[in-house]
Amino acid sequence: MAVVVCNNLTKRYGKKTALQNVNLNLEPGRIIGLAGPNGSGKTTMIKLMQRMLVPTEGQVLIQGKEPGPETKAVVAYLPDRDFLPDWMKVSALFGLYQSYYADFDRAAAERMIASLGIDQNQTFKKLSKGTREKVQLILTMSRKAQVYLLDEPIAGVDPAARDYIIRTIISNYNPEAMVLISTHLIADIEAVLDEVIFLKEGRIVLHENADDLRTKVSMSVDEYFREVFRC
Amino acid sequence: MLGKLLGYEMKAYGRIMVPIYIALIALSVVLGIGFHFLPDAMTHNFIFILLFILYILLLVSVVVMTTILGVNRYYGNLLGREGYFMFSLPTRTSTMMTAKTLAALIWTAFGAIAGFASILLTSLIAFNDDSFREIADAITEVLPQLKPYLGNIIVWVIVIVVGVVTLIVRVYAAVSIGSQWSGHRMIGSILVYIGFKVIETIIASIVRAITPLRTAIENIVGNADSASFKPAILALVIILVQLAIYWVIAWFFTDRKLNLE
Repeated sequence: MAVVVCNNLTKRYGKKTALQNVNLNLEPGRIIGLAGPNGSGKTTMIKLMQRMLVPTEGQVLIQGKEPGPETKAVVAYLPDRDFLPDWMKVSALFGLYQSYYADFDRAAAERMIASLGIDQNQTFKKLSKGTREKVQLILTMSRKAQVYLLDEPIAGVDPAARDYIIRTIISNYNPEAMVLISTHLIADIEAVLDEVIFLKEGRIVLHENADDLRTKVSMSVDEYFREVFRC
Repeated sequence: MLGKLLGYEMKAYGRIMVPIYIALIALSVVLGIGFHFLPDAMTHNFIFILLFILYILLLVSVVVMTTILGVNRYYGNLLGREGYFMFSLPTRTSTMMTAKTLAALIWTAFGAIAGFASILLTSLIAFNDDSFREIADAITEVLPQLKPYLGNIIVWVIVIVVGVVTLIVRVYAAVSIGSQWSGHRMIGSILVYIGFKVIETIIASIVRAITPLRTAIENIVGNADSASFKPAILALVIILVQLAIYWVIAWFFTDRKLNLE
């Protein structure tokens, strides 16, 4: 049974259509790449799944329910920017996640932080940009969620940090969960993807199993992405 | 969840406000001792004058910081980048708004108590003699005479508390509309707040212009004796209507029209 369902999902900002009639069924236990150029509607789609936006038409369902407090309890969301209270210490952020999310595995988070040598007594704002992104990812992936929504997790970080982020995702996510990774850097995550969705100007132009797609087009997903979205 | 959110809000305010309160109380003690032992210090002692200026600045900063934090806990924490965290929590927008309103109200009360306590403390230490005791005795004498008006006083206290809540929620409503702009959100919020006040004034003028309404209000306020609850209840009803309207506006633009930075 699909864990995320989109039925004719549409979002307009005034006259501008950000998402147009999106229909999707996303199964659990899959890592799915949501690919598209900037402005194609990736962040809008994720925000709709997290009820940070309200659809203009259609609906999105998470485990059969419209996004709200119940679905947020099972969805781990990583936005495409710094989003944590920066005056708090790393250890206090652990406490915050622990108090708000029943599925947060603090021991796992502490292990990951320790393996990176990050001082838990350091305030979040004093960490470097790369370290802040790692802390945010660790907090998100330390939840035993049913759905992971990761918005551009590897954009703007160096290649070594990208490897760490991808390793952290695939070694920590709940295997029964669905992971949706939005990105325009397909090459870096192609190896871990089970499915890919291409989004162009708010419409889905492709939704396929990654292996099937490679066989069908005789090229890598990244190469095909470049062909589809060539300027 | 409300308790957890309120705890988080209290902590966010406390890290700024508690050091200010501690400094204020400490300075009150120093000034009290100074006034007690050196009655002419204000005219002769430069350091003492500086300490007094610092004390006034601290009193002002209690008001200013409580106001700034009240706005920022909504504008920055809910509608800014931290909103991505807040709106991922398994709770409703109304619960977050309630936590923020309660925290702002509690810290407003703490601010008033801290200011009053610091002045009282300075007076107690400085005038620790019969003159202070006489004032205390006079207050003790007056208090029993207020007993017949106790009910009315309680209702007016409620009016003041609800009035403060309405002020807070009016700010939230203005900020939530101002945040619909993609840029200059704070300027937009200030303009919306001014707009609210203008609309309130226009509505009040219209009500005064409608003769039956004006007569009804004058009957309630003008003909009431000093122990009557009617004027306070009327004020409470008006403020509650305002509160309900601003709450719905703030909720609508924060929940249904969320526009995070």
